[in-house]
Order: sequence, then structure tokens, then C-alpha cells
Amino acid sequence: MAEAEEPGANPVNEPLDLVRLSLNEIVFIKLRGDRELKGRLHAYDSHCNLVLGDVEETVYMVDDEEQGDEVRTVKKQSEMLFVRGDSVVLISPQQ
Amino acid sequence: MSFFGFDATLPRDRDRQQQQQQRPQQSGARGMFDQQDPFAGLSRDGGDDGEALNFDETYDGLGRQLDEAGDAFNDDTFGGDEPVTRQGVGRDFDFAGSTARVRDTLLEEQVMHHARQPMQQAQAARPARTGYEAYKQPEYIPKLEADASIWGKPMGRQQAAVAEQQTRPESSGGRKMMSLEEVEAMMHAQSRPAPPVQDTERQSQGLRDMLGVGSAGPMPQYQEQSRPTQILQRPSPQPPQQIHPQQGAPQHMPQQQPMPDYSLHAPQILQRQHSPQPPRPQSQDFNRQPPPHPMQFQQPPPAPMSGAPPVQAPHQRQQQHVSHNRGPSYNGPPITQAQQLMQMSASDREQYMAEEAKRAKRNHKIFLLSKNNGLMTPQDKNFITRIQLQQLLTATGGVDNEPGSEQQLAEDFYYQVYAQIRGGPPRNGPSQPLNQFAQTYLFQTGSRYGYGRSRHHPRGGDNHVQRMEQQVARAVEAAKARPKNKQLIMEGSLGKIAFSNSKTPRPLLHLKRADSEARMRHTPKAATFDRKAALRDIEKMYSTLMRLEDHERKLPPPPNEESDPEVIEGHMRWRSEMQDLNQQLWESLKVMEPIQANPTSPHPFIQILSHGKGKKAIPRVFRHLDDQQRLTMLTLIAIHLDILDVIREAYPPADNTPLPSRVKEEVELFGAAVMPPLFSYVNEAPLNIIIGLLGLIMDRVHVQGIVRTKVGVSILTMLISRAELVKQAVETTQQSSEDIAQWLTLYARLFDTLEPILPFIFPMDTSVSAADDVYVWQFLAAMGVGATPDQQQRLVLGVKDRVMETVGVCKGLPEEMAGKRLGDVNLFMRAIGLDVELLG
Repeated sequence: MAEAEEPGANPVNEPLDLVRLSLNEIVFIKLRGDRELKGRLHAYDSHCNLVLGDVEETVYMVDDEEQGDEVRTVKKQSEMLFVRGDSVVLISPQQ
Repeated sequence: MSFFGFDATLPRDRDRQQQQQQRPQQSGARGMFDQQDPFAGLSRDGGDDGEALNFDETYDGLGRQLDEAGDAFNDDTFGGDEPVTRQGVGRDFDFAGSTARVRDTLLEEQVMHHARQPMQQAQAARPARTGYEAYKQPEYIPKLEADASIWGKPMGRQQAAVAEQQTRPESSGGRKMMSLEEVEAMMHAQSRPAPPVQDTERQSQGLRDMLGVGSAGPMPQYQEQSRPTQILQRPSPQPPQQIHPQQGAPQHMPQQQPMPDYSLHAPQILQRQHSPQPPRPQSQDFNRQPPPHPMQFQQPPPAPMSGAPPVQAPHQRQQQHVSHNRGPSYNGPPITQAQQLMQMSASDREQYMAEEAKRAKRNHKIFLLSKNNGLMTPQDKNFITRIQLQQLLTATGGVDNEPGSEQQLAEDFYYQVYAQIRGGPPRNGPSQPLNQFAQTYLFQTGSRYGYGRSRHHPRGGDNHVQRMEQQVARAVEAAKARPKNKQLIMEGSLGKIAFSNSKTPRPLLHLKRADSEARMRHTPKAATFDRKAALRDIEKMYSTLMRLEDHERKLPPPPNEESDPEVIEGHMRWRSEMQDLNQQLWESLKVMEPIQANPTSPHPFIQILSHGKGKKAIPRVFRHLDDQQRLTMLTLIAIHLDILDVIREAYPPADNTPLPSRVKEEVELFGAAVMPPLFSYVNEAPLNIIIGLLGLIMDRVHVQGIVRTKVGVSILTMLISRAELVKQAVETTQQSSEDIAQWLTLYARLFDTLEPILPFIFPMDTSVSAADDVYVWQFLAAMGVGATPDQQQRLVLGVKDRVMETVGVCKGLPEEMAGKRLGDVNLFMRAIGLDVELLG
């Protein structure tokens, strides 16, 4: 999403401004602990605390015993979720 | 070699063995280990043709060789015929128990043997005793635990020699290893006194042990002199605070504070082992170090605490610690033995007994009271609640802030706005009732609180927050005094991790912000660029909108002619600010961007409308726009009908599959958010504007396309119905006929365009029974109202099939649904003067 700044755009552009653009959109969040979220971003703040709606959480788990790169995924659904900011790794618009 | 004595050698080996016994030179090879290697022959066996072991050769017949003869003593070993019972199993193995029982006797005899020399001047030979004499006494508590008084120094006459040995270490004040003999002597001496006195003594002693405190007086002396720490593997429980017992103990009693805490104690002891030290310097340490609690109920030496008054939240440690500020009133050598009692005068004895009894009673009462010390009492909960309420008061707009003020709003914006939107309760303001409740509660509970406590703790009702803050400050001081790492270095990692806190936050990076002209420009992909730009525009619009709404809230009271010039001036200022913001908002909407012919990307405003949040902003924005601006917006929408996402993406696909849910949501949102303000504007628009709009649509938009979508049909309906209304109104007032003529031509043109596709206006993705086609019937009704009879005929022809189908389907539907559907159809039918009932 790199692009030139058009003249007249907001002068102060910090990374969280980009998150602002994604308000009310479907976003893809990667969390610590091999977890991912996909949901509609309703709110955020400077800590990256998030409020997400209609979230689908994916947990990735590796089973070592099976002697391979077996990656299991567990999916969970929530209607509304508050995510604490210190575990957020990245926020991205929906692919 | 086997356990049961049978020959465990394999037949093969046995043969070999026999052979080898005849050849002694080879058997020497196995000389080191006498055992036969059962697998020895396997690898060397070539006589089997390399086959696997043959059962017959190796295992067959082994059973015959089993010696079954040794079963004679099985019953004895395994318990005979009867089943094994708990009683049947003998207790002969209880060696420790038996020894414990005769321990006294053993020790006695030992001591007697050693002490025979120095105790020549002892009195009459002691009567022969068995170790079981104690058991004959009633209510005797078996001495399974070493009684605390063994640490003490028995000062009996019989123990004079022993006492001599003990006075030596006592006077020196240093630690001395007491020999085993001395320990035995003490224990032995203890076991001799008369039972009743001993019992009470022991009971009180036991109680003291349980409560974790010795009698404050006698204890220190014992601790001073107790040496047998090695036996019990415990560091000397000598409290370092104890000063020389002879002189100091009685004087130091009053200085000992309540709450002796021997869990704080133990590490102290480890650190300062030998010499008793003055108490004061260490009281600081006690407060600082709460180490884990060694679970020993032996020797709970009292520890002087710092002078802080007992904290309100009762300490858990208090449970086991009892003592009082009042020192013992009995002064003199400590007493634990009945011999000592007998030595004292009767009055002294009574005094001592009274003292003991009082102490025991006091301890017991304290124990009862402090049984629940770790739990929160209702007062504690009240305390916490009050603190929370006070914080709530200051947080949600506070008592100080006037209701409706900026600060109050800033404190709790969401609740305030929510209350305003909901219409608010019929009270002064949304915040006030809560404040009042909180205040009332605080006041009432405070008064109760104050009264209940005023006797013991004269404090005001309002300073619990202060008290809490004091505690917090104390904790912070304590934490500060503790050494803390500034950095963390983990093994194997590269570098150090620095900790940041509120005073030293993580420093910001200093980045040079490049000038906007110097920034590199490169052409990005058009699609993402547009989307990003649209999102940016939306956010900019939202910020402007919020500033505008904020400003609107600050509307000063309207001035009239008599008001002060400042008020008028303030009003003027406000209004100019409003206009300014209005202008900014209008610009942010990007409606005035030039319309390019065949643009590569949609118009910015249309792009804004393509997002849900853009649609949602329209009603709010509309409120602040004037008529001209609204018209411009409407015109822009009308021109771009083709391009609107709700129309473009809602075009029914060729195979009549239902639209994706996302599109349906957007369509609904458009209908709910954007249409109403436009509708409200159109309903007040003059005919010429309507005509202009419709003309534009016909010219620039593919009507036949848009009419297949719900939004397109709704917009057309909106315009046509307004035009019809105006026309009918005009007819009564005879106003400009040019407009009407113009309208009629336009109408005819529209009609002709739509006639061929009339059947296709209806939604095709679902069946007739489930279709939500009310908007189509509304459109048809609007068309029908203004239609000439001929046109009406053509209308009916166009939709006849659908009408018949709907009526037919309604016969099979439940009451309500059928009624609704028929009503919808009737909208159209009545407009042209017909009715569904005519169709039967």
C-alpha cells in the first residue's frame, strides 16, 4: 500500500493513521501466540487495543509427536471481541 | 543361583557345564563371575543348522525339572489358611513406636549413668521408675512433640549441677553447644515433676506454642540459653533482639510490640546468628522482608515490630501471634517447672498462677477473635466501596464540574451522548442523578461509619481515600528501597532489555520528517490508490464533521435587541466559525470535484459513497448543508447512478442467483441512510428541479439498467411521485404550465423507455411468494397515477402476468402474508382505478 502523499492530505501521518482508515472495514490481525483474527474493526487506540465485531479467530498448533510439520488450526467465532494491544503484531486490511 | 533354589541353567549349558567340569582349564575363564550366562551358548551353537532355537531342545522338559519340594513353609510366609486381616497382621514391625514408649526409660538410665558423678550430693535415690509412669496419670498428653520448655532452662535443685553448666553459657551470652548429656538432663528433669502442676504448665505451654508466642518474659531467657539446635536441625531461634536476659528481659518486655512474627524472623536469625543485638535497627528489616514462613511450631520467639500502629487490614500472621503491650507483671526468674513453684513462696506462686491463667485466657480470646483474620469484614468492603465511589465521582464529570460542561463531557463522553440520544430521564441531566446517588450513599454510609468508629478511631468520614493513599505511599516507599534492576540480561540473548516506567518512558525515535516536495513520487496502482484516497477522504470528512458538531453544541444563547454587545459579538463569532467549518466540510465531501468525461476512476464523492461509513455519514452531513449544497449533492448522485456501487453491483446476474450478502447490506444501508435525507429534500423541491433531475437521468444514465435494481427504482419513484404531487397541486392553483408540459413529455419518454422491460423490474432471484417487491408496486403506482388511460393500459399489459401470479400465490400463503402481498399489488391497482378483488 505504498503511495505518494497527495498534496492536501493530512500532514501528520503516523502508522496508526492507516489503522484509522480501516475503521468499520474487515481487517486481518495477527496476534502473538500463533493466532490470527479476521473481523470488522470498530475501534482502536494508541496501544493497539482493538474492538472487533463478527470475529473469526484462528489458532495454529503444531503437533510435535507426529514427526512432521503437522499444523492444526482451531477456529472460533465471536460476535464482539476486545483485544489487548500488547499482543497485536500486525493489522492489515482484508486480503 | 535362583531364589527358589532350582537349577536355572539351560540344558545345553548344563551339558556344557558338565563337559567343562571335566575340563577344568576352560572353566577358569569364568572365574570372575560365578554365574552362568544363560545366553552363553546361544551364539556359539552351530549345531542347529543355523535354525532358530528349537523348542524341543531348549524348553521342553524344563517343567519336569522344576523342584516343587520347597513348599513346606508357604503357610507361614503367606499367612496360612485364613484370609489376611488387619488384626491378623502382626504389629511386631512397629519398632519406632515401641522404642518411643521405652524412650524415657532408656534416656533415664543413660542420664543416670552419666550424671552419677556430679550428682553425688543428690537427695534420696530416686525411686525406680519405669518409663510408663506418666501414662498412668489422667489426661496426660503424650509427649510426642518436644515440648517448648525443653529449650528452657530448668532451674531445679536437682539440676543444680546441670544448671551450673548452663549458667556458664548464660552469663557469657554466647552460643555454646550443649552436650547431649545436658540435653538429656534437661529432658529428664522435666519429666519428673508432679503431674497436675506439670499439666497446667504444659497446657499453658502448649497453648503458647500453638499461638506462636512464648510468655514474653520467660521465653527470652530460654532462647538465650537454648543450645540443642543441632538436634532439631534448626537455626538457633535466638531472637537477635534479645539483649542480655538477666538484666534486660524485664525491662525489654514493655518495649516489645504486638504481633511477633516469626516468619519474618527466621532469615534474620540466619543472618545474625550469634550475638543478640539491639532491636531497633532490625525493626526496619522486618517490615521490608516478608520471607516464607517456616512451618515450625517449636519456638516462636516474639519479635518487636516497628512502631506503626496495627494496620487495619488484619495480617494473616496475626492468627498465630498473640501478645500484648502489657508485659508480664511477674518479675523474676522464669518458671516452668513444678520444682520452681515449690521453691517459691505461696504468694508468689499464686501470683504466678494468676498471671498464667490470665495470659492463657487472653491468648485464647485473641485466638478466637482472630480466627477469621484473613477475610474482609463488612467494614473493609465498605471502605473499598467508598473509595471507588469517590473515584467515580471525580471521574464521571465530578461534583465540581457543572453539568453539561466541557470537562464533564470530556470525562465521560459516551455515556453523556447516549443519555442525550435516548432522551434522558426526566431529571436534570444524565450525570446528575448518578452523582446524587453516589453522594447520598457516601454521606449516609460515612455518617454511619463515622459514628461506629468514632469511639475507637476518631476519623472523618471522608479520608478513606487519604488513608488508602497513605498505604499506597508506604508501599511505594518500600518498593523503592528494594534494589531493582534497571536492565534485564537474559542468558544467550544479545543485548540488554531496559525497563521503562512512567517517569522514564521509552524514548521516541527522532526521525527527520522529509518535506512534502522532496518526497518521492511514483505512480501506484490505480485501484488501491483510489481506495486509499477514498478512505482518507472519509476520515477527513468525519473529523470535520465531528468538529462541526462539537462547535454546534457550543451555541451561545440567542441574542435579541437588548442584549449586550458582547453577547451579540459572541454569537457572530460562533456563526462565522460555523460557516468556516461548513466550508471545510463541504470541501471534504469532494462534491465539487470536476466531473471528468470518461474518468479512469470514479468521482471522489461517489467513491466516498461506495463505503458503508461514507453512506452513514450522509444523514449527519446533510443537516449542516444548505439547499444549494444539497441540490448539488443530489445532482451528482443522479448523474452517477450507473456508477454507484449499490446499483452497479446490485444488477441482477443473468442466471438469477441471489446477490451476495455484502451487496445486500450495502443496498439496505443506502436505503436507510442516504435515501431519507434526499427524499426530504426532494419533497420540498419545485417542479423544475425535478424535471431537471429526471432529464439528466434520462440523458446520462442507462435507465433500463438501473431500473432493475432496488435503489434505481426507489430513486425514480421518489422523483416521479414528487412530480405527480406537485402537478396535482399545481392544477388546483394553475401555476406554470410550461413545467407541466415539460413534465408530461418527460414522463412519456420515460414510459416508452421502460415499457419493454416492465416484467423485468421485478426481483428475479427469489420465487414470487418470497419476493420483496413492494418497491416495484410503489413505482408502478407512481407511474400509474400520472398515466393516460392508454398508458395505463400498456402498464397493465406489461405487468399482468406478475399480478396474476401474485394473486394466485397469495391464495396459498398464510393470512398475514397474503394480505400484505395483496395490499402491495393494490397500491398499483388502485392507482389505475382497479382493485385486486376484481380479479378474484
